[in-house]
Amino acid sequence: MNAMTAPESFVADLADSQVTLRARNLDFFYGKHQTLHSVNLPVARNAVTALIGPSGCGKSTLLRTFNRMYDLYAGQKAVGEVLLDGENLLTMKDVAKLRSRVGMVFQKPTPFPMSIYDNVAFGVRLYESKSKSEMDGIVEGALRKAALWEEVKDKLKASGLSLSGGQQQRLCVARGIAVEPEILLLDEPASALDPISTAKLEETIGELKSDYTIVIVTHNLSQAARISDYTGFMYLGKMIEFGPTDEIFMRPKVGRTQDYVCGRFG
Amino acid sequence: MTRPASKGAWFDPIFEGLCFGAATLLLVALAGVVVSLTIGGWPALSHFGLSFFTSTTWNPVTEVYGAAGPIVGTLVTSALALLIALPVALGVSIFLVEFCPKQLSRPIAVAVELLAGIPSIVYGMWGLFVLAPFFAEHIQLPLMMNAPAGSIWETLFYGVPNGANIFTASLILAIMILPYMAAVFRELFLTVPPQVRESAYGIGCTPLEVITSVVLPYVRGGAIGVVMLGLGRALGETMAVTFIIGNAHGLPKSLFDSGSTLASTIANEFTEATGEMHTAALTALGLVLFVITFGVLAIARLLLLRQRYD
Repeated sequence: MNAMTAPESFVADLADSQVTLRARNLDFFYGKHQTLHSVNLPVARNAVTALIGPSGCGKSTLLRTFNRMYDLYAGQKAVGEVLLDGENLLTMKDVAKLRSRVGMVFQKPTPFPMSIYDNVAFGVRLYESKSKSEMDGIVEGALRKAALWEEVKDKLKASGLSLSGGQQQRLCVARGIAVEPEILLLDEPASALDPISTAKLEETIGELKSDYTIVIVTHNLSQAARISDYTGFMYLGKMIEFGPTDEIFMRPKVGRTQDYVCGRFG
Repeated sequence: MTRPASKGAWFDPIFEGLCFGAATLLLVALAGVVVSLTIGGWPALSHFGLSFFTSTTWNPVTEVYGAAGPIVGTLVTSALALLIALPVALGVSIFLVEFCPKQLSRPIAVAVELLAGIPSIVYGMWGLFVLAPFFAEHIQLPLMMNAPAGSIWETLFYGVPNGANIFTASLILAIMILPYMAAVFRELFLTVPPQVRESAYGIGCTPLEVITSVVLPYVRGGAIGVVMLGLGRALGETMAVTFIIGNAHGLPKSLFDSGSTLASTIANEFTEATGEMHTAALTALGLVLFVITFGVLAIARLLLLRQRYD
């Protein structure tokens, strides 16, 4: 293959009107060690964007810059720009507020040590005082959206820790959307779940995108192909290729992407 | 082909026996302590009956022994010490885990552990020679002088202004259990999975909200255990308290009154206990202290167990 047909990287651009979050020339450092190299990524509104790539390629790191989770740890820093509706979130002062706009669900379910109801209501209470009936409505709405309501509606007072792993993960999704973020970041949310729970979670993600913008990191290529509208393939801290999911999986422009999605390495 | 037995196999039964022996020895020692304390203290307990626990008279000359003073002194100083030490220990450990820059965190943690290792007699001497005079002059006297006559403050602050009293003893105890509690709290907070903390931050919590709503509830059972262990230490502490509590028998009448604890009474009088009843009474004090401490530790165990099954 010559240089014309096989570029080193290719990041499809999306129109600003379509984009809610945009990483621009983003570098990331763990101390002196650089783990992201000039990453560009447009994230389309009300769509699912999947980040794929072999372990250690920087996809989780990229996700963690979108809500400044790295701020919790000394020695980690991001350089460049991540624009949230045009504003660089790397320099925002109110990190707590940013994180209420950009929610996150983690690899392992992390219910808080409190009741199912309180797990969902917790985030809302941080910002607003609601009447009991309003809060009931918010909790039910969030649990319905996360496809968990039917399973827990009779035991809302039970501890969040008493649920199964899959239910706990959907509880975390419900907790994340109860505060009505604009963007929901999912860091390998299904990797600790059994196939049935995974299917339910994927279904949930499909339904959520009408209300939210979703960025999901996944190791599971067929999952990315199933649920995402756009896919970014990363390798060694670089964004190798980004574009509509069909393009990435059916007609990748970069040789390395082709090798990865065909299972030739990774 | 059958594999030969492992070369160490012959030693296994012996190893098991040795471990069993070590465990048994400990239980036997514990039982021995209880039995000998009970036998030793029995003459006093049977002679004075219930009044051993309710009477405030402790008089080696007339051979009348009532332990209400030391019992109350022990409970009050320990409770006060806990009241003072708990918020500070929480503050230190939360700072170390949540806010402290990484380079500082290690040195401070080590310093805290070193503090926990200072011998209690050093704390006692510091308390008597430094803290007590300072306290008497700059805190006790002004408070006493300025307390409105007839008010509850006057009652609370009454006492001989020498700085050796219930309150300064509690203060010394608090300083002694503080580093220990802070160190264990720190360990406890580090057991909270980073993902749980991150997800709390992830929905927009401030650090204070993360700590009060997620971290503390997460370690609740363990935290109660730490409090109980701190209390256990305070209850049994002898040397430092003996130095600074004033060693007066009888019920302390105010916060600044001198008093005594079970441990300080035993330490003060054991060498002079010539009469059979005096020795028996002191041994009975030991038994009471053992029962109280054992009870506190048992409660701590129970709470820790319950958290495990939650």
